[in-house]
Amino acid sequence: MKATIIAVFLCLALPAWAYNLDTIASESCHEKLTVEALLNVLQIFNSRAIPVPKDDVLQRMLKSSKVLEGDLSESDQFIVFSIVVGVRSPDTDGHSTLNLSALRRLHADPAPAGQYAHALRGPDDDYIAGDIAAVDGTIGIIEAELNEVLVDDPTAASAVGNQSIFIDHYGQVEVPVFLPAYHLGRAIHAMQDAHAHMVWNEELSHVVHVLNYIDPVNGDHKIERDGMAHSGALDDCERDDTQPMVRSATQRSTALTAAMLIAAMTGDATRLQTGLSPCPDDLSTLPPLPDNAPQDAPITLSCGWIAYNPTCRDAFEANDQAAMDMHCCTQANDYCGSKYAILAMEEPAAPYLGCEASPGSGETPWAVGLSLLLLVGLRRRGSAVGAALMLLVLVPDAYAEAPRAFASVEGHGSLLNDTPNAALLDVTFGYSVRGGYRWGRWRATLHVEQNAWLSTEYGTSLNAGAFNLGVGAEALLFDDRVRVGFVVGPSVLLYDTPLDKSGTTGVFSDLRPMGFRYAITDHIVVTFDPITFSVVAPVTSDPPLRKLERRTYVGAEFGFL
Amino acid sequence: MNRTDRVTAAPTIGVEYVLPACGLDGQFMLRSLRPMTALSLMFGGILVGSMSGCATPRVPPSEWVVAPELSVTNVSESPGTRDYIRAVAPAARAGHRWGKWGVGGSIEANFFKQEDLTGSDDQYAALLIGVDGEVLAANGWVRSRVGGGLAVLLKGTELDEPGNTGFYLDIKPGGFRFEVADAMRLTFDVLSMTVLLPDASGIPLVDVQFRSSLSLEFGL
Repeated sequence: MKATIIAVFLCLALPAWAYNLDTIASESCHEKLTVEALLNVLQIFNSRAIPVPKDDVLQRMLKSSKVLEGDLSESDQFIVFSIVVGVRSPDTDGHSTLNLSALRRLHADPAPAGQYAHALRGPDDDYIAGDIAAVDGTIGIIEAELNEVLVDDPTAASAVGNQSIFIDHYGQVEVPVFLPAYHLGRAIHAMQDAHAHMVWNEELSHVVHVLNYIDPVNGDHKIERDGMAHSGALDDCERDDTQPMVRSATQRSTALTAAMLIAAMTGDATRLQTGLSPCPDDLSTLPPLPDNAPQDAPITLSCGWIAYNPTCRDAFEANDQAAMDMHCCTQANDYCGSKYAILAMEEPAAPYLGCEASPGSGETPWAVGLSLLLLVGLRRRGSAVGAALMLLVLVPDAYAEAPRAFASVEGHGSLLNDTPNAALLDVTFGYSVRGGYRWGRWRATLHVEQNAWLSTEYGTSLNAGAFNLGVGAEALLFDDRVRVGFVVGPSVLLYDTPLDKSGTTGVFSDLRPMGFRYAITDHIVVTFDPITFSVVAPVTSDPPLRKLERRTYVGAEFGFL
Repeated sequence: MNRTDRVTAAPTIGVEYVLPACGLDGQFMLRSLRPMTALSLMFGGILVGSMSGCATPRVPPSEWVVAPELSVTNVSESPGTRDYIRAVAPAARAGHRWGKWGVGGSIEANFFKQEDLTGSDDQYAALLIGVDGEVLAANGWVRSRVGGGLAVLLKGTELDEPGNTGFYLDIKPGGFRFEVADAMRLTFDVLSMTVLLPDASGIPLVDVQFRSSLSLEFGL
């Protein structure tokens, strides 16, 4: 069962992620927690009554999940899919994880609710009042999602709505989701983030401190006022020292999932409301399961899923400063000695460009990767242009008596993407063989290439990409030192995507507006195209897979006639 | 409504040209400028221009130059997007050239759009002030330039504060130069790249622009 659910995640290319974004620079955490939660509760939920829309994209995605072992019904898969879309939603809102513009909108949102969705302090949540506001705000977010879960008739068509997801290389695609499950996913996100962005006591029974992301990232952060900075260490579910937190997050996610699914199907929200309330004495209060659920359902924690330090809250509400000094956990008393506070001091968030980062500080992993790649990319392109400038100056004219037939081998790569609503980084690279025949300044050209793609949305993987074939023409200008050219032809998908099969064929074109040519000998020319424009579109049906690539080419050309 | 349905017809574009040094004059009008049409025109323009008999651009041993420039992003189209021209950037540049080498300073108003979370446009404006270095090649037919400097945010969203200052990098790897009249040269960069970070604080505001530029240079 677990393997099947994981298979659904992987085949849909939509693994959930919780604590940190699963991007080019980090591995997913949320996936494991959400899979565990679903594993524990899906059996108590009768999903067969849920109508699965006959949407083509959805059907293709669900169908692709059956490539691996599968004993989930189509309805189960639809539920899992919808939850995963919801879990991912608060961090990306259906955008690329490398869409800096969207992430800026989402994570630099100064509205408190924008931060509470990630169980963090709002920008004005200061001191102990800020801790309490953030905990209450996070609970409020979960309760708001509950209101969306409690639809009148979960089997009605109105329980299904469209949401955007971002699929590697396709871009943003709208798919139908089961809305109660989608909102459950959003609530799970907040619940799990509460374990990654809040410091709990040793017993993991209540929160003692809430972390802050927006202030340190904006470079205006005082720890005694704003709270500790968001911690990359506490966000890492793979570390040994975070495992108690991970287990607790899984347990509470399980309880939340069960309660919300039951509420969605029966309208009975008692278990959910109890879970979001502080425990009156201990964790023993367990309301009975509804009649339609197996009595052995592995539901444990029934209350206090997110609760703030009760004695501190009492002292704060009584405005008793002496009691607050005694019971509240602050920097002054080392956060009551919580070992998680020590952990939270590692890898604090800082401005992305690091101008105000303290020694040893670190950005979120994806930001590190993004910054590094951007800088590397700029440096590479800058170096390439610098090299081009040097060659322009130092290399003499191209050959005067040019051979008529030629063949060349080339390597190419692209890094940055300026397409709106897409990933800023879109890494592709490959090789090509090119040949043709010359009449005067004109050349007829045949171009064959493989263009590999780096996928970054749901873990990092290198895909075979597409095989592209083009025929076209070139013109050699200015004593053969400059080449302009254009080819067009078919583009063939070389691997199975979540939506399309290998072999799907579309269109390829490559425009080279200015390439430099440097004659090494009478028959060998080095070629350099600093920026070109290629359209690689192996899938033209809806949704199309169409990549706009701004490539840099380097090659060696051999004339032999 | 599907996002792709929002693609609107591009405006009518008309161009009249008189290039005495090239023996050319004429006009063309486009009712609907599609991306590939625009690119084809660019490509064709280069070929026509390079073969049309323009005089070889002069490369004086030393001269001051001034140039108004206009840059626009070219094809920024993908499924789910609608803007073909996402950024427009008029600029003015002045510089000095010694033979094939040159340096200059420029000021540019960069108006660009990014999509917000709902798919609507966020409108930005930034002032780019910087210096550059350039070199002429192929007997003056080709110009390569690299520049950079400060990017001052003039207009942004509620997340931005006008006046915030970052930096930018501009790479024009190869522009075609045509001597269209005495001491007047038209330079066309078919594809160039500009990266600007007008707000480097917090989560930085970054805009990558692949664009085409037209410059009319006057030798003084």
